[in-house]
Amino acid sequence: MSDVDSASFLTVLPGKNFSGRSRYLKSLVASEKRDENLYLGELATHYISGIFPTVKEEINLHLSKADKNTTEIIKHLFSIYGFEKHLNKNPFLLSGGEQTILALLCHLLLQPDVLAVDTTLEQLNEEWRIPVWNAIQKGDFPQTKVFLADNRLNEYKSDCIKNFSAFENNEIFKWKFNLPVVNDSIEYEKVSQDIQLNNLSFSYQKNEKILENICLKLESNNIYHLEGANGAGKSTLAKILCGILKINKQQLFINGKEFDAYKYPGQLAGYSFQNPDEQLFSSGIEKEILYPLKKEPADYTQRRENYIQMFGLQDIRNAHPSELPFVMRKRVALAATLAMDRPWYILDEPTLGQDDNFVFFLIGLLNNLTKRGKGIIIISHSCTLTNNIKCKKLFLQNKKITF
Amino acid sequence: METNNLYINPYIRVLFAVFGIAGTLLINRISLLICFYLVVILPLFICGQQVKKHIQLMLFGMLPVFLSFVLLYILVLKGNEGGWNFVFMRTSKLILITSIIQLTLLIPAPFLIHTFQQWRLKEESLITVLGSFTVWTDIRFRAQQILTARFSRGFIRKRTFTEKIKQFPPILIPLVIGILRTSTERAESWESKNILHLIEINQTEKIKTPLLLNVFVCLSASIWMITGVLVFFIT
Repeated sequence: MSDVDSASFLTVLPGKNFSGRSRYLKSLVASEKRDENLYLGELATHYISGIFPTVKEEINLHLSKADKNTTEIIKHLFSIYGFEKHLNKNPFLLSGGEQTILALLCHLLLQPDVLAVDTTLEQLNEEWRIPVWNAIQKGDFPQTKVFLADNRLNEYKSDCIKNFSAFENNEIFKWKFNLPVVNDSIEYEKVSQDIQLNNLSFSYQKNEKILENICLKLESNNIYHLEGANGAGKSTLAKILCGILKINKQQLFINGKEFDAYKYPGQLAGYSFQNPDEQLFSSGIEKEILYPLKKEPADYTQRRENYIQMFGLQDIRNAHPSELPFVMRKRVALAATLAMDRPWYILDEPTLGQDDNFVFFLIGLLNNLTKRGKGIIIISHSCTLTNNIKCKKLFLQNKKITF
Repeated sequence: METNNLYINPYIRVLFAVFGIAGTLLINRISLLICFYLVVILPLFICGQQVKKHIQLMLFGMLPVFLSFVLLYILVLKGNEGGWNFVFMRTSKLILITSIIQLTLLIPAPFLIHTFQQWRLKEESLITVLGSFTVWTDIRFRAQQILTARFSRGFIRKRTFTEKIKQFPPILIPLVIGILRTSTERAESWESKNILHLIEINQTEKIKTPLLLNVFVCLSASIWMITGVLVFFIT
């Protein structure tokens, strides 16, 4: 405890996955007196009260306990994040980043003594992280000490970072996860499938275009980093490529030939979701990775084994995904997606909750995949990932893509 | 003080439900039942912008009931005299009662808490009832996401109706697990936030009642009730 006691309002806890940070944060907030110490876990959606039909009601509930000064600061922060237009929305329909901000600011409104934030802020891009980060750091909430477990420390310019690795060698979890070096030696058939989007437009409702006249060529053997603000249409574009959303004819071409992705969903691109819980449904990890491969004609056994070994899942191959911590569920979801032999992969926040070890392992794996002719689109706010991987930037803004 | 044209006073909602259902049970004339539906119920759904939900309920709830009555009449009563009248009367009454309950409970999101608090719901009961109204958005959104994930991983190769039906069991597993996980974490969060206390001290905004709409609802329900009593005793 003395390692991290500090006069600072914000204490950041770096450390590797499975070093015991989450346990430590939970022990910090364990208190007999309720609402004095609060914990905010990996997925903000679990920490929204879930009973209020609108964002406005959710905020109002938490306002009732806050003093005038805190109320003013939080209201100002909400306005910075543009929450005025979301007040009558259902909180569940907000994007991941918006839910994170909502949960965090509502927890701060309760003015706890300690607020433990467990990798929640990793869902925010730098632009969104700065206002709330600065407010906490400069002491706008003097009664609250915030402890933050985060894997993206190299992206923070903070002088109040305290190293914390007290649990580094403890046997806290049942399994030890040591990621081996990337050794994906299986030979895949090298097939290049370049994607061409020709005047692609898409709208969910009439006269409300999300994407407009996008002309773009995506070459396989490359990694693309798709950037854009919340609601810019990143997920929409990903869903179009995966064949989930229907587009007009003559808008999507593969190697110059028109391709109907909607008719063959999931065949052009494998999609790894931001929230792994939406993706995992088998009763065991081995089955999770095996299941889609069964439908493929080629021998899949070696590929499955390879991915189980690479992602360090061999000791937990029969465990139910829901028994695992978030970090591991995310890894299983990634392994299951990448094990599929698809020309393209779309990875939404692949390093959420992951430490640098895993990030560099993933960089190596993705580079290997591109050498085999695969194309990869990454949607991520992690600078560690995107700065250390050779990728082409795509900016999605104002319904258009720029380079 | 907030004004909204769709706001029906919580007490008038209850009065509408009680008088509406009582009047429907007392009246045994199909023409009157249809008249009440067309003059009062349908305009209220249109006014509240809830026509789509109402049509869905009629199609998936009332139509099967009507068809069951018809089958019952043909197979069991074997077309005895008076049977068709029985079928139409029961169906009309069921449609009216269901529509009245639907109208009473279709509370626009911004008025939910205020309405429940006016109905004297407190603490755990308020959380339970509120949760049962709001949780569906979460579940629907999750189910959609899981289906999307299955499409994107190539599990569903054809977009046929039978393929979609086949997806229900696999969707249920992650859906139930996800809901259980969320529920556990949310319950812990409620406990640590002491949410009961927060709700207790929370002051909801007062809402100004749109007079015309509320007078119409109140009057129509009262007239319907009186008509029901008169028809019942006269006939």
